[in-house]
Amino acid sequence: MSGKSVPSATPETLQYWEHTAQGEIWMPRCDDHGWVFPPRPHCPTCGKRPLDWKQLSGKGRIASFIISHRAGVGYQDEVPYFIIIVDTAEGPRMVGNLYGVPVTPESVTIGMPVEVFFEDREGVHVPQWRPVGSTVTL
Amino acid sequence: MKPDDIVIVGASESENIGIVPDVSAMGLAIDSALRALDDAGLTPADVDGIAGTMHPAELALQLGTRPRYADGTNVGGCSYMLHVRHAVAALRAGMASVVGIMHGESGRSRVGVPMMSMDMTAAPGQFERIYGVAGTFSMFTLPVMAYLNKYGLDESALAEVSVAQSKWAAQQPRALRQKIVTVDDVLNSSMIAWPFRVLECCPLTDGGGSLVLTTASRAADMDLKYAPVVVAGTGSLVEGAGSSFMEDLTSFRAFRESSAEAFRTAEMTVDDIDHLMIYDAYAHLPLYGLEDLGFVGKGEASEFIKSGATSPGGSLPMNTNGGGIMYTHTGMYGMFALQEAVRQMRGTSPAQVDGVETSFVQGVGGMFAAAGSVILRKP
Ligand SMILES: [Zn+2]
Repeated sequence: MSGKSVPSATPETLQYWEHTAQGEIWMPRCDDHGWVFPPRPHCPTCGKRPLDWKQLSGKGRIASFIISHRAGVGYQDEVPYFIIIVDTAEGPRMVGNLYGVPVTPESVTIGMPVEVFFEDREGVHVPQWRPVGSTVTL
Repeated sequence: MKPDDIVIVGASESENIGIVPDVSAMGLAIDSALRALDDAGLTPADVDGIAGTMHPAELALQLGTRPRYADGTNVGGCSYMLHVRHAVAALRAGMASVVGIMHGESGRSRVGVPMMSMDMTAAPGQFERIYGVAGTFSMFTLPVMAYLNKYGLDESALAEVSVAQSKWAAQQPRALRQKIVTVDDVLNSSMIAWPFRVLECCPLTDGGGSLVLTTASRAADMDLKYAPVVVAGTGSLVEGAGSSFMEDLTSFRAFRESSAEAFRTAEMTVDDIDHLMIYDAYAHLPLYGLEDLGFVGKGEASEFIKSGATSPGGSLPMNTNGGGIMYTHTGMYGMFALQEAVRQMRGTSPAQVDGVETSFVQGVGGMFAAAGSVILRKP
């Protein structure tokens, strides 16, 4: 048990976490205005509801990153570690950690391709990221 | 120019700021409020409007007033800019005649502070903080590499912010960090969340600060210690919680729109501004701010700061208290940016700049979640 934070799903986000448990990322999508993330039951642009959920490819590129030298909850054994923002191939922007490369600023470039994998936290499967082709897991 | 209709007649910080283990958060707020009221010869009973991020009813009880106007807006550290904006509207509408805006926080000593609980069901809780976010230093900072990469800048771009502000802090006896630092000092200070070093992050402190606002006509009948300071214009925008959810990682929409509204309502442009405060919990914020407010072009802020333009003797004195990074940062720093702007308009800052007639104060709240702008000027 790492003691890492476990996200608390709400009825409005439950589908997201049910899909991650299957190893997939799905998000609500408005036919007219695109993806809705963080997940909400309506389109923030036009108010349409309900929305259909669609699957993302799980591929993306690093949009920004920091290297945390202070441990967040449950991360005591990982310091220092990456926190990254990923621009997914489909557009929505997600936060995660990056694994599978040395934890140095030189290991990362903005625009570097990454792919999702999932970390099991007490049964909730949290999206994480690794370079395309890496087989690292948690 | 707009008429001088709403003015600041009281402004004070608490007697002590920095490390104050013998006063509670509320005690710091009330101490500063009494001092601010004293500027205008007022007592708590004169205050018929209150604002603050603390619970308004508790604030009213502790101060000793029964206000007919109360504003408990809390959008983070720029809430006080929004309180000023709302107070201007309330005073113009006759909803209050004297508004006290109060801040007290025991960020360092944690005296009289309720237990903080992180909402893990909110969007940042479910989708950001679960990734080992140990503090604001590893989330508020997260967009910065997108910015630095876009403009081909390196880590020294951030360090220059702290270097420039340390030159002001050296003139401020109440600043927590008073030493003038170099780029090397900053880059060699301990790593917090690469690329941010400790000297690019605000320290956590204790302190209080309050403002008293009224109408110009009411102020004319008061026995004022200092000339009133005119609230010339205000603006605000709530962007939404979470730094990864901001529209553009390299430019803050709330800075752009909040500042534009302040300029519009003040009937001013950047050319009219003599003195600038940009909320700096972390060193990237003055870079975003200078660009988003329109003082420099995109990607030009660090070069502008490096040139000395914002340092003592420069054309645009900025963060003249040393900023949140050097002066004090109780958690919601916005009140202290406003206090220094008022001091500059009164001519009482320990780092007083000669001849300044106007000041622009830009706040940010949460982690790129909201922004509030206030333009002050001499009457
Ligand atoms: Zn829509």
